[in-house]
Amino acid sequence: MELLDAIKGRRSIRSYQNKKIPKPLLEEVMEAAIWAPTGSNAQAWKFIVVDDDANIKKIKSLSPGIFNVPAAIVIVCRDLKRAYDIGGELGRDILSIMDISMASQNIMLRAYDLGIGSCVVRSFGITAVKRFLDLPDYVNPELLIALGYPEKMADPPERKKVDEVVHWWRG
Amino acid sequence: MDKEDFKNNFSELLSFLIVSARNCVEEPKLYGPFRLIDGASKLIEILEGEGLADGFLLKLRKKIEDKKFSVMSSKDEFTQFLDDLTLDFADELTKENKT
Repeated sequence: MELLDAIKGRRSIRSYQNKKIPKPLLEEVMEAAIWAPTGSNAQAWKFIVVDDDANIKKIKSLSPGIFNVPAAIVIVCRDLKRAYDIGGELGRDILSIMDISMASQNIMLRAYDLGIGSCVVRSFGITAVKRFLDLPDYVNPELLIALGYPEKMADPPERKKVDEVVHWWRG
Repeated sequence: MDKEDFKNNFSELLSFLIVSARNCVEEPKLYGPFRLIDGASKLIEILEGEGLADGFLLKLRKKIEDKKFSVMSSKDEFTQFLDDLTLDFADELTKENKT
């Protein structure tokens, strides 16, 4: 698939088929995550993949932003300790957020490339999910990415025109 | 639906409501009504599983499921959809009075 087709074709999918994603495909999706840009090469991220139905349902019940039962959920976390050790306050407070955001986009684009739908979710009980997963203090869940084969593709959302947001500055 | 399934579904709804309440402290203002209406749909789904949802409630749920995501694209459309739901209830109550 052409990169631009993936960038323009990806949608937030909120309704999934009752069909599991083969593990090798999930592994391919997750490999894309680690190749995202990361400030100072800090890689202050952790990705927790949950693909068993019982735990997916439990995490879903703590996540109002997940609307259907996906085939897998990726919990995208920041490792605050590592981010601070390598990048100081800037790394911990800002760069690590940017890094996991870019890694999340890689996950969703690679998933789309493999025919898998995704939806990135911030509407979840952060402290509740952290406790449920028994994460250490310095590891913060920041985003969930629901993955699954789409029940139906969503319509493209409205976007502003390129020239409304891109400004060519020549001094 | 057996008692255990009912309890699990109810517990899931409660968890949804409680986490939503917490998240609404910081989330965009429109997410409050969105969570409420999504919760209403989930409640009807549970009633449906128990054989307690009548035609009116099932129609209501379908309408919610069809339109709830308008919150992502148009505040006006979402508000109109909520208005319509309240009017559906008013019509239903009027109907009950006439029978």
